[in-house]
Amino acid sequence: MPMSEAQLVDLVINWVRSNHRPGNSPNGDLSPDTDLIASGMLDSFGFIDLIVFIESQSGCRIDLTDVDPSEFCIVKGLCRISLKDRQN
Amino acid sequence: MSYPSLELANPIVETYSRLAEHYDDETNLHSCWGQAADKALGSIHIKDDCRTVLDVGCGTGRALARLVPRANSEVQFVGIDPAENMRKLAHARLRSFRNVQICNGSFEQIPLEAGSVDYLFSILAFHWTTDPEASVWEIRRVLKPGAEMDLFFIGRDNGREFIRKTTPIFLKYMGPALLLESARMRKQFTREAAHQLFSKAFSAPELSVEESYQTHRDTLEGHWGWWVRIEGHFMRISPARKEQCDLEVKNALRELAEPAGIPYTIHQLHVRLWRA
Repeated sequence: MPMSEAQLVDLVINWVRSNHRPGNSPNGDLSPDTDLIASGMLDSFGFIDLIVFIESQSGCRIDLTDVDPSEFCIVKGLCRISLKDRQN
Repeated sequence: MSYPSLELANPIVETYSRLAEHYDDETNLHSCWGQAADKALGSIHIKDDCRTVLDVGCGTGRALARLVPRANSEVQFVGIDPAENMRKLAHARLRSFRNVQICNGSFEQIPLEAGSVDYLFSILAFHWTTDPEASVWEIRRVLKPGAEMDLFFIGRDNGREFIRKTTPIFLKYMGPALLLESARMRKQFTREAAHQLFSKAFSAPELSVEESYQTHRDTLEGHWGWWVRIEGHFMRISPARKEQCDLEVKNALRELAEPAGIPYTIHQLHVRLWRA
């Protein structure tokens, strides 16, 4: 059964809780609306690892060409981007 | 509109070559990275029984210029670097020494015979490898049995103050795809990941991986002096936008200022192979 956006959001939040940058603990305030870059939880290297994780979980290849940067940084935006090609 | 940078085979190498004449500017040499390089170089000791010493990523030959005069004249030194104009400067700097060769090469492709090197060192270059595992096996290939090695390169948490401040700006100017492509140009390992990588070709007790964190504080101009080292990351930003991007980056870094200066933490890994 294909993964839903909500399921992927939960997976991403759990991954970020385990892999955020040192000194930028999300505590309880990590939500689908969190900006992972502005909050300092992930840097670009962290995003590379996160993309690999999402692709492995969703089975979808993520195409970041022409992606809106503001959507890319937000948990639910990134999940939407990740599942976009599958839904088309 | 397209830019010449889009056609570069390796933006990091091409940029180092293009900016080679600025690499030994005082501002870079006196920066935190210049100091880190000097400290690493100061820890290098060439044993009397060495016959062939290899410097991978020799750049403009500064390290060799310090080491060669102190060593026995029977020691053969080889410096390799993939950036053509860096090699030209190294040639010019070292031409008076008959026991030094400067060649085109990199961690991925070392132009030496198997089992020919007694001591291999590299200062702040391994993080630019495009293929870490192939590079480790290439190092293993050229080392003699019982050879020694010191590799100094940056670790996963390097520059965390700057990265947090500047990533939103680079995302704005590069977009997600280019930002991640740029990040992939540099490998930043944790100590554990580096140990795992090198353990594929080398084993304890000869192999060790140490890490250090050192926070340097400097003026904005002082830090900007080493920007030449990372310009390759930003080749895909159009020249017109690059100027505005630089301005925003400088403003963001100013916000980090403390009474003692703008902090920048170098996370350095030291992979060492040594004989007891």
